[in-house]
Amino acid sequence: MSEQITVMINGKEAKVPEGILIIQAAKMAGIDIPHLCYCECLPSTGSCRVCLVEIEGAKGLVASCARKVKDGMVIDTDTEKVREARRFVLELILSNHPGDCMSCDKNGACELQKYAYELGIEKTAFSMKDPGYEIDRSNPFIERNYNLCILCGRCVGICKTQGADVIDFVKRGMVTKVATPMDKPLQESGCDFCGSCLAVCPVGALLEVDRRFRGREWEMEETKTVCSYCGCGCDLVFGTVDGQIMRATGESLGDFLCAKGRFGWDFVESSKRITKPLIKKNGVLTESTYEEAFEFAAERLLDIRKAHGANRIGGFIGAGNTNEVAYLFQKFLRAGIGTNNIDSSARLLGFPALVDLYEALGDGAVVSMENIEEADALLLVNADVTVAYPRVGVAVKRALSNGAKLVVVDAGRTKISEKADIHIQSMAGSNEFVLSGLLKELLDGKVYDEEFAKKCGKFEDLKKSLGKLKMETVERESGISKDVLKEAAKLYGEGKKTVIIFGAETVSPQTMELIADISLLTGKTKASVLPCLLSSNLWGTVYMGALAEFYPGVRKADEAGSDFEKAWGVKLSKEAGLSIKEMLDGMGSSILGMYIIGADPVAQLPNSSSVAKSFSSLDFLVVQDTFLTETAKLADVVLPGVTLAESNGTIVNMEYRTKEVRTAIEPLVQADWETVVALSKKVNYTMDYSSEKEIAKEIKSLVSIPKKIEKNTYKFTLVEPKISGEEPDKKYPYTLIVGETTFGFYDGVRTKNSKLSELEPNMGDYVVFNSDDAASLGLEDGCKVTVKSRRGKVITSAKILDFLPKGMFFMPSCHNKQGVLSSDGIDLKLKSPQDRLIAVSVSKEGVAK
Amino acid sequence: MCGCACNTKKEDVKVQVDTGRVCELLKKYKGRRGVLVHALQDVQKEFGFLPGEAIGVIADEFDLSLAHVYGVASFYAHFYFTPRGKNIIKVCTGTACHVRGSKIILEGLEEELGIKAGETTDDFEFTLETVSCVGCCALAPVVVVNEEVSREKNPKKIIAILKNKKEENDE
Repeated sequence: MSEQITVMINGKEAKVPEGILIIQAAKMAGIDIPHLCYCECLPSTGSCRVCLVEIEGAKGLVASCARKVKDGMVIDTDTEKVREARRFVLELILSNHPGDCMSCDKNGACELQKYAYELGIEKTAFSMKDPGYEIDRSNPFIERNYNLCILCGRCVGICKTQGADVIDFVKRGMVTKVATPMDKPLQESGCDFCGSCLAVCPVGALLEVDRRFRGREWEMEETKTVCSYCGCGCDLVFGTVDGQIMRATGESLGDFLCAKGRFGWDFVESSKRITKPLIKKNGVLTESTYEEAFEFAAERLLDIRKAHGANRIGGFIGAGNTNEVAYLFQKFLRAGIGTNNIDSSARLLGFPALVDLYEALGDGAVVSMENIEEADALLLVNADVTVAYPRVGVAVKRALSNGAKLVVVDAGRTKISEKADIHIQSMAGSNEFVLSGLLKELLDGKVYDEEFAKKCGKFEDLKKSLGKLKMETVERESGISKDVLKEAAKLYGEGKKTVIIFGAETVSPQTMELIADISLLTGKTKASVLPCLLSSNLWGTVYMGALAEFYPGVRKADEAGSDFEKAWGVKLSKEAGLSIKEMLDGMGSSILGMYIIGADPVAQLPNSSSVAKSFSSLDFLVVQDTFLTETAKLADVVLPGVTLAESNGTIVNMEYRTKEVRTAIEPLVQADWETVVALSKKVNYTMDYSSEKEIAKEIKSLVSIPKKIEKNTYKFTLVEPKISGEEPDKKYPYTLIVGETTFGFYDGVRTKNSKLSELEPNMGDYVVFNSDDAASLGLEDGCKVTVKSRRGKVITSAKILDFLPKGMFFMPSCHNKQGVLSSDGIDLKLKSPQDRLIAVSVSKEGVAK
Repeated sequence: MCGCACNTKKEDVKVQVDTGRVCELLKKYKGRRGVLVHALQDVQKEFGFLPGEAIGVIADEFDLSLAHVYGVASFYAHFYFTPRGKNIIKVCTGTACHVRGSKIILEGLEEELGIKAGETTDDFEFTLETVSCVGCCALAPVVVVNEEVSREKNPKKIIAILKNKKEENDE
């Protein structure tokens, strides 16, 4: 805490911390100094001169956003001299402004308008002139009307700190304008559409396209909830007018949201939403009533149970539903149906390996964004943070601007790897070798915490096994020289506050174990490992018991079964249920009926043509979802689902924070929990709740989330490094990496139904080749190519970009074409398929090979 | 595209930029600060204007954002972002030249070349510009033709001289 000093502001004494700006001191004293260019979340530029104040003894008026307070300073913020000066400044600004307040959406929230009113500007001294710029409406999200721009520079500042850094002032004098390089449209200039510029714009120059002419600021009702995309789980404030969403913003001015968070909510209002229950009649899904659908679904499920037993039925839930829905769903299956065959898409996105990691490190794995921002050394493993988990990307950027060191382990070049001190561009699938090499270099280079490591179990074994590891092997398998690894080990190991960040769905469980070992070896067990999670409620879904191995609270079935028998008042199976992979294998024989909520396994699971076949062989399939997904198309009964924007409840984000989800708009259809409750009544296990609150209360009495693990003893895991992913061979010589894109998301169900898809080239239907491979394969940008794997082939278009090394191609996951190609080879530990690295061959379409 | 630039907009003209050449030009500035404008000048000298691709190389080499480099470059009237003609004709419109009839010269040139001040002919032979003063008011009115101050007042003659020069060179 810095020292307190005394200043006089408008005749009143105020104690404020030393070194802050006058404008901040005044705010502390309850005085708002008018300002336009100044923004709390940005460095001051002192350009607008609206925040002028009088300081005793100072020559002339002083910009309060650019001068720090001094002890004994006497400041006047509201004298006639000050007001006169501010009026003059505003009149100058207004001289280059059309003054069309009547139809401006910012009317009532515009800061220029507010100060002009407060300063009593009736008629401007200079005539007001419309600069006459053409309004840019060429992109789907941000309307840019530079006639209204006052050149405060907030957008330029925030684009530099948390955006893609694509705008700046161009030209000079009266024709100065904020523009992209060569004044191209945003979508052609590398803009990420995070919309941070829009959030800080004090006037109407930058506006949400969707909001235009649909409601004024004062009509807007605001609801604070959580973003439904990735696991960052950012706070989202929906502004609604008459029950329709107008915009989404962060909670305060500079809060970061990505394109998906700020603009991608429009799928909620898509006309393709399922609005009525559907029943398959003569092979066609036809609209029905809720009652009819419930009756039919329950009857069929009960038939299967009666004829073949409860374990012939299974359930699968997406990891983007609320805790309440996940809890209710697994309770429905376990208690209502009587089977533990319940699994979730968490299994495809890093679980249950993450449970092991959490148990190995305890609260070492509880990291907040602030921990990253304060870190002095970061190790990023296989996580394209700015694209897949943008909030983490911003945290890393902030850490870097605070001077943190960064080591990136990633086969591809990313926006973050370009800022890294060391980028270990290792060969696909060789993460385990790189991290083992790092461990060895930490140990050999003595950049580890010996005292702490000695206290951990198996330290001697670790030393021995690393002693056996040959750096030559690491070099050969990863293509990275040991000197680079040595340097990286030093850079990371010498950090005082470090965080290892990795993409949970992209690394192998062994990689996670290696990460835990690195964390232990360096003695960094507090907030040191952040698994980046792709779905909004992965942790919650697992805590709620929607994973085959675990009852709620991540408790093993045999141990927890009797507790839950008491709580739920029925006999329960004490055996772990089947994982989705096992259910899939048994479909048509040991699994006859499935109930699916908010997930599209046919699209999400690898080797999709065989998955679709399995699902078609079921006796009965009921799917509850917002859109008619690939899985829903195969269903016998489709029940309408709601989006997170229409739900109440809680989720647990990747920081292990429980966050409250609130309905921003009237749900289009019956809430998910109500549907499950209604169905439970029909299977003669009445789950009686009157609201989500009651479900939450029951959860609270049974489960603590997140589970607290206080660790006193730690132990190394020791991992024998292996190449992960599918091995290329002569027939399939290349490696295809499946991953996220800026405007696409996971299975694409939501982004495809959002205007985000307009920004994703070809809606994500492409494969990226580097120019060397493109030349040797004879491909040009945009040409059609056939990509073949051992499972199948797809035809897509080629895109030539140089971010991956030779022999590696990239395919966006959001178009969902990879399912045909990807391997369903099962990871025995995870019982989950490894589908992110696929061996493929490529040929130009129309050319015989 | 027919090969000549008849129907293409100036902004659309693709100029093959030898990025290696740009890097070469920037070599001497490596690791130095406050040299951006010098670098831009050197690149413009090489290509006659600042091609977008070259600006990209400059941004990469100096580790600056493209937006920043473009922002700096666009601040100065001296930098151009579209290809310019082989011959640059600048008509002085400063006070002295103005009162001695520079407007008539300018209008004459505009008519003769079929372009307005600030534009370039479709064959990229001529760019016509105005300049506010070139510092030789005693000679007014003057025209600056390819960096050379000329007292020639007849637009036809100015162009004819340049065209003749071209023919001489061609031969």
